[in-house]
Amino acid sequence: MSLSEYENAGPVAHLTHRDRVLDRSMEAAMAAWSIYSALAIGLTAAIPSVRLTNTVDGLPVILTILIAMFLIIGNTSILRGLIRGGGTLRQGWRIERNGIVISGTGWLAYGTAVFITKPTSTLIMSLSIMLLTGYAFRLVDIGRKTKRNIHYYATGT
Amino acid sequence: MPFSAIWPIGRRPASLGERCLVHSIPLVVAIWGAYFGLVALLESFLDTDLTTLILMIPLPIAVAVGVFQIVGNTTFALGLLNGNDDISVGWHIERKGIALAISGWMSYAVSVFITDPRSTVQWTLCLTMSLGLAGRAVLTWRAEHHIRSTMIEEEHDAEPPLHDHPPAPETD
Repeated sequence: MSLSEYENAGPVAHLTHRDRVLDRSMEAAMAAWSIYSALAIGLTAAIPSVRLTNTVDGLPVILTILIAMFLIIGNTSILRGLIRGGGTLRQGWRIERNGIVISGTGWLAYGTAVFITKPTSTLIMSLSIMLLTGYAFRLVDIGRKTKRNIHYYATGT
Repeated sequence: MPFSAIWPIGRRPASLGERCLVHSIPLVVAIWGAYFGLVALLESFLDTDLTTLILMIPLPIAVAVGVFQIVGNTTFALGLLNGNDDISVGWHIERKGIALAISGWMSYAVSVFITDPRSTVQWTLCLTMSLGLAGRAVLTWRAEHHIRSTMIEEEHDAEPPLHDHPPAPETD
């Protein structure tokens, strides 16, 4: 029997929290870092004595704090959706999808603001573009999985 | 066992598009990591002004980070998209790429931490990338271990018990 036959195994159930985080380790890690970076840019913008990053130089304080809030709320939802404690797969996907939309809005605003104020910060801009692309693919993937999940429970196939 | 890592696509092998969808975030992180490596190399030898982040670390380390990132992340992405019938082939390629990419990220994180520890966003990003990659490596190792042990169990169960064996032919 080839290993590929196991790739197409049936629907997944009874995953532990550790399995769920390991399963989506990169998504979970990026969400956790996004929360930290949002805290860093929010605190740096709001409290002048705190200096955790240079990328917010020149950005309006209100806008930076708003971006930070979007990123914190969105990525917390993504983490909740990935871990989906006690919930079904579909509930987890719904929470994650909401988080992706909110976080994507935050990254889009941050990338645009950095592009306007500091066009030479190509790494931050490219990271925003890459994450937005990844989020878009993930949304499509979640949509497909939800459809397949509904079909499975409706027909058993 | 985290089977959703190798999400059941159906009763057929996953296509390239489906692989891209399932591994979207690891893929974009790998592409960005390779781009980061390219920027590190360009900044080391040319005055491209793409970023000022690389300028604060020593040149040999910047070059090493660039090479590790480009090779490691490209290998990782190729492993994710590998369409071999035996998915362990893709996992092996992935793990090689992960080892190189983690080396690159950690070298950069340590360099930044030593030269400018207040740039927390930068070195925490490198640590996060490394953690995410390490998680993926552990996952593929566990999945492979689980599948192999399941295969051995199934092969063992398939063997008929001793008393069902046909009698040995009588000899003169």
